[in-house]
Amino acid sequence: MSNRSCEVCHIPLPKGVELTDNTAKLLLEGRPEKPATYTQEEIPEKIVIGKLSNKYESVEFPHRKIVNKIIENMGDNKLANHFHAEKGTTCSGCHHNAPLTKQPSGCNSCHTKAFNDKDMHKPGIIGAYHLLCMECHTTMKIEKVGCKDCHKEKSPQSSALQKRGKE
Amino acid sequence: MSISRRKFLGWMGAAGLAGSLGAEPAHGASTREFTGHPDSYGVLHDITRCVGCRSCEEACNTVNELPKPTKPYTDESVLDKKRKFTATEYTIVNKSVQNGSPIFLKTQCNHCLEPACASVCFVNAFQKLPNGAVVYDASVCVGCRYCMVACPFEVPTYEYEDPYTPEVVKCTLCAPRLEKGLLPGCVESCPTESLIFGKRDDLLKIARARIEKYPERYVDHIYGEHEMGGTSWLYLSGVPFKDIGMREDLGNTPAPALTSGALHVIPMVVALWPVFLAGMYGMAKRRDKVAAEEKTKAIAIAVEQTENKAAETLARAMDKAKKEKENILKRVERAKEKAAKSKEDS
Repeated sequence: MSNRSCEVCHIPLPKGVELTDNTAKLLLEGRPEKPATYTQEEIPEKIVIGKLSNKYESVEFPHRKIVNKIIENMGDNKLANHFHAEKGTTCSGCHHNAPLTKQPSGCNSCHTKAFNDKDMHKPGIIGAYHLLCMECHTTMKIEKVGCKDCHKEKSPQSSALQKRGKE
Repeated sequence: MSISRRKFLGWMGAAGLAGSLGAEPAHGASTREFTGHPDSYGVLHDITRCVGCRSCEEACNTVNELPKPTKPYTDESVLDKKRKFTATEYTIVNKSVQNGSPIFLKTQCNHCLEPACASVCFVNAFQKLPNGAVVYDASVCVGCRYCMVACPFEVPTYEYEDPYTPEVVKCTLCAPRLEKGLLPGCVESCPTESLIFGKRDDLLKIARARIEKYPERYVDHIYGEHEMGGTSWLYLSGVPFKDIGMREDLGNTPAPALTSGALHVIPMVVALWPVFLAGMYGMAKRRDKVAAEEKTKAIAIAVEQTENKAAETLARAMDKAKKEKENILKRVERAKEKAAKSKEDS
């Protein structure tokens, strides 16, 4: 936990303001009902990931659907909404180590090849995807953790096309 | 000459003991600790990350050009039964259920720093390469399968189906691929980086860092860091290792330290065998020769003594005969004188 986390609740009182009996109540009431986030148009709907397209069909990652589900799960939880009061904070749950902007950098801007000698702790791109997606599915008790839940088996047609492309 | 069986074995035992005391001891029997070849490679298997997809098994099958299994790798029913290594499966993923959630454990040769298989092999068919791999040379193997008995992880298998040239089979750490600068097949295929490849020392650091960062996620133990003197494969787990079928009773003593004292006498006995037999033969021969010489000498002395004695007896007899002859002559003379005297008197 960084100091920033503490400062979300423990705000220094502005000059001239004194604590009264109902200050805390007023502050709590003033908290947002909903987490702040970008508009539906601003959130990309789908992201096509083809890192394993040699084995499976490319994955159509339902980006917007997932963001909406996370927002929905937070619901009217004032603590959660208070923590996610700034646009982009929700995004940084996955887009970690990226600045809070409308278009944070994608996974592959840091996660590239596996087993980087300079940073052995950083997973490669395929590892990063699987670790994040599956960890979240497990924690949120989403049953879909099997290979075929995300990776559609290759149709014979596309396999043939790929083979021809290689030749 | 004759040597009794008991006597002979006694000598052999004494020779073995003398040899093992006198010769430079194998390092396994010493107190010196072997911590692996410097910069050798290994694999860290983070069991908490394994999702049981069996990509590793499939990749192993492909890179080693093994026959395809009857059930496809995507068939999850394979995981319902606990499986063992076979001559065509160098790695196996087994599932166990702990506290209601499935845990997947990938197994293969652990590539011990001091391998038990190599320590029992009397033709040196197993070798620990400086890159970390324990490899097998079929050209010298006599098929005794001591390695299969010795391995504490029950890794080596045997091509029982092959009637003419059966070989011992086990994971090679993809040594041929490492030489080309490629990753082991299983590691390359792992989608969750549950398997990471690197220098063993770096892997230990990573494992320790993970335990420190997520103490609630991991058991505070790196399996393979010290087990059986250390292995090139290392494991991290979220549940006690013994609960998922990994032996925790093996101790930290490398296998060669337990066996080399007794085992390294064997080649010495084999080497000294002809020398001893030749020695026995030589000694027997010499003893026979000496005995024969002594016998001849004794006979010669006996003969000489007998001859001398005979000559003496003869000489004495001759002497006696001579004296007797003289006596007879004297008596004759005296009788003659007496007769002449009595003639004069009458």
